[in-house]
Amino acid sequence: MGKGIIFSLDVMIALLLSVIFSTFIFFNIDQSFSNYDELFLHKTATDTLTVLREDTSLETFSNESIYSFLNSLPEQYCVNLTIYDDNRILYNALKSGCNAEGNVLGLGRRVFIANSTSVYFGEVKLWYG
Amino acid sequence: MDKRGIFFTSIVILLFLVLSFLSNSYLSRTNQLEADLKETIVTDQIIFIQDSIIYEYYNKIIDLKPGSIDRLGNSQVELTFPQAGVLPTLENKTELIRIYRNLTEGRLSELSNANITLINFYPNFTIVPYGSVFMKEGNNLTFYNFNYSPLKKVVIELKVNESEDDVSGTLIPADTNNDNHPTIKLKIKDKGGGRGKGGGGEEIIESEIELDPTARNSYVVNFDSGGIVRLDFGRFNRHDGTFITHAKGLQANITVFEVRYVQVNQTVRALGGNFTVTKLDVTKNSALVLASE
Repeated sequence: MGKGIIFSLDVMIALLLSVIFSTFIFFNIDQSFSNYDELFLHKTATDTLTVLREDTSLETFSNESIYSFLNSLPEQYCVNLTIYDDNRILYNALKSGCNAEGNVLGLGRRVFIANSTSVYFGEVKLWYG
Repeated sequence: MDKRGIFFTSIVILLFLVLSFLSNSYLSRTNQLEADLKETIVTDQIIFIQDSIIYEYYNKIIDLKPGSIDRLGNSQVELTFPQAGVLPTLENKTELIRIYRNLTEGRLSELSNANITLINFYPNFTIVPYGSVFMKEGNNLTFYNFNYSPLKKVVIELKVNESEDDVSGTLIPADTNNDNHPTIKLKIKDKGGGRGKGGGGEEIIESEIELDPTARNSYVVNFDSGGIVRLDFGRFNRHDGTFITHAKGLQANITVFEVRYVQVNQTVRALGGNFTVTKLDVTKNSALVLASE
C-alpha cells in the first residue's frame, strides 16, 4: 500500500515535469515562425510599380499594358492598382480572376508626375487569391 | 533507494533540459530572423521611396540632364548636357514641384508610416564647388554664376523649327577680346530644307567671342512669324555672370550645351537638394546627385 502511494506520487511528479517541459518546448517551436511571404509580396508590389513606371503605362493610364502586366503575375497572387488624384480614385485595375481584397500582405506606393502637369498617388496591394 | 530509478530520472530531466535549450535557441534565432525580415522590408521601402523621388526629379522635373563632368588637359573642367531638351519647356515647374513635395511629405509619409522630408527641393541644381545654379522653366534656360570668375566657356547649339529664309533680323554683341572674360560659343541652325539648301540645317548664327560678365550682352534672332531666340549673358536678373537662353513663338532644340570652368581640387558635382526618409529606426539621408566627375 505504502509502496503504491510512493510510486503513484513519483509517476505524477514525472508526468507533471514532462507536461511542463513539453509545453515549454512546443510553445517555443510554435512561436518560431518567419513570414517570408510578406517580404516577397512587398517586393512584388514595389516591382509592379517600377515595371509600370518603366513601360510608361502608369503615367499614360494605358489600360491594355496595365492589365497585361497584372495578369502576367503568378496565378496565386491577386493585385489591385489604384491611382488617386487628391483623395479621388482616378483609376483602378484589379487582376482578372480576383474578386475581393483579401488579407493584404504586399504594399507599394509612389507619388508620380504624369503628362508633365499632374501629380498622382499610385498604390499597389497584393494578397493571396 | 533505487539507483537505476534515480539515474533514469536524471537522464530524462537532462534530455528535457537539452530539448528546452534547443527549442529556446531556435526561437531566438527565428525571432532575430523575423526582425531582420522586417528591417529588410523597411529598408526596401525606403530604397523604393528614394528611387521614386530621384526618378521623378531627374526625369520629369529637371528636364536638363547633366551628363559627364570631365577634367580637360587645359586645367579646365567641362560639364556636358547630352539631353538638354527643348525650349520652351514646362511653364509651371515650381508649382508642380510644390504639389509633388506636399503629396510626398504628406500622404506618402502618412500611409507609409515614414517621415519623408525633401530639403531644398526646387526645379534647379547647383554645380559645386562653383556655385552655378541651373534651371529650365517656361521659355528660359538660365544659369546663374554668382561667382563668375571660374567660368571659362559656354558652348550652346540650338536648332530651331524655323527657316533661315524667314529670319527678319539678327543681333550679335561685340567681342571684348579679353582673355579674362568667358568665351561664349553660340550656333543657331534652322530646320533645314530651305530654298536651295540641304536638309542638315543652315547656320543662322555662328559666333565664338569673349563677353564681359558684368555688362549686358545679347544675341537676338527674330523671325517673320514673330518667333524669337535670344541669348543673354552678363548682368541680368540683378546678377553678374547670368546666362539666359530664351525661345518664344518657336521651338528650339538644344543640341549641344557645354560649360567649362577653371579646374579646382575638389570633386565637381551637380547637386539638386537632398531628402531624408525615416521609418521605424532606419534613416536614409540622400543628396540628389545628378552628376559627378
